[in-house]
Amino acid sequence: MTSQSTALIRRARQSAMILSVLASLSACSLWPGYENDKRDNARPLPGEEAQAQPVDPNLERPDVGIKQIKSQDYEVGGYAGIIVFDRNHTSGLYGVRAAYHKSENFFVEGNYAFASTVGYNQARNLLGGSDGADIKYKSFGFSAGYNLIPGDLYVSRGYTVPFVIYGIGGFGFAKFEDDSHTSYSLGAGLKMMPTDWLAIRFELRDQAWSAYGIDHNAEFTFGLAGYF
Amino acid sequence: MSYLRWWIWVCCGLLPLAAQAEDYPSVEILVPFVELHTAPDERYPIHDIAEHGQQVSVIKRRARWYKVRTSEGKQGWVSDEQLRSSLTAAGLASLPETSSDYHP
Repeated sequence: MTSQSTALIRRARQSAMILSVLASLSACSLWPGYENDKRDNARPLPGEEAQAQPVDPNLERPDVGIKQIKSQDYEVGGYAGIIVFDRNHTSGLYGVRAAYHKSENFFVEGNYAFASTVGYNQARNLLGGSDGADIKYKSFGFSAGYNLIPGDLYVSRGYTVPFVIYGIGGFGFAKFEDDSHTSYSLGAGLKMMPTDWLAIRFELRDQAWSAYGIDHNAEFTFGLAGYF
Repeated sequence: MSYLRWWIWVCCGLLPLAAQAEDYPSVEILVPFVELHTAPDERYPIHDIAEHGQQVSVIKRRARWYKVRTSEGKQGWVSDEQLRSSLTAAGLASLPETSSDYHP
């Protein structure tokens, strides 16, 4: 064999090897999932993840709920007590009221009340005395109040009961027996707040209207109310 | 009597819901300190303070006062004037200013 033929054979072998290597590499690229498997095992380079996942422009706005502060400006409750009609007849008094606290001192209130001997006579039987007068009485009114003297009752080392003495007055309409009157009221009360959502109220109010002179009707009531 | 028993069971069932509902917004105190009053009025005693940087939970509002609870569990009422900057920074709606507000 000559040296030329030997060189030709060597080149042919080299070409065959190069072609076989290229063919095997191209076959690797056709292998399904090879790239993904390789990427899963490989540690991502800084910034690679961001480039691999482009930002979706159709993102939905995340639901970021801003927590709201609960307000407690309204006071709703009921009351019971006695009413003395023109210093003569006494009866039980029941009512409901709703108030709106405009500021820490000022509030407005609406109320509805009616007289009844139910419960009142039973109490009088226990305590002694005469029965109540069976008088038809209904009233509703609007009032404005002002917290005059606040204070704190120290019950224990870590527990205090705030209270306030308030003044209240307003106007309304009263139906006494079969007569309707425009009524005016003026009074004062003591409100105790054992919790920040509960109020206990003791109130003395003069409910007055004009009928053959001014009739003064005193109301003594005890009430419970919740703040909302 | 059976109605009463039924209502008691209903109320007992609602108790866990009431406990879960206590998720109050939290704000950071941005003024040097705020005063914790025993009730929502400046005439009630100040029983504690919350200092600058402290996180407080705002439990409720009544008129122009906020009931807050500190991380140590102290509760009290803070005036709107003292808490306004913290509420604004937290993105919570504050009450409109009044002419009597004091701005140091």
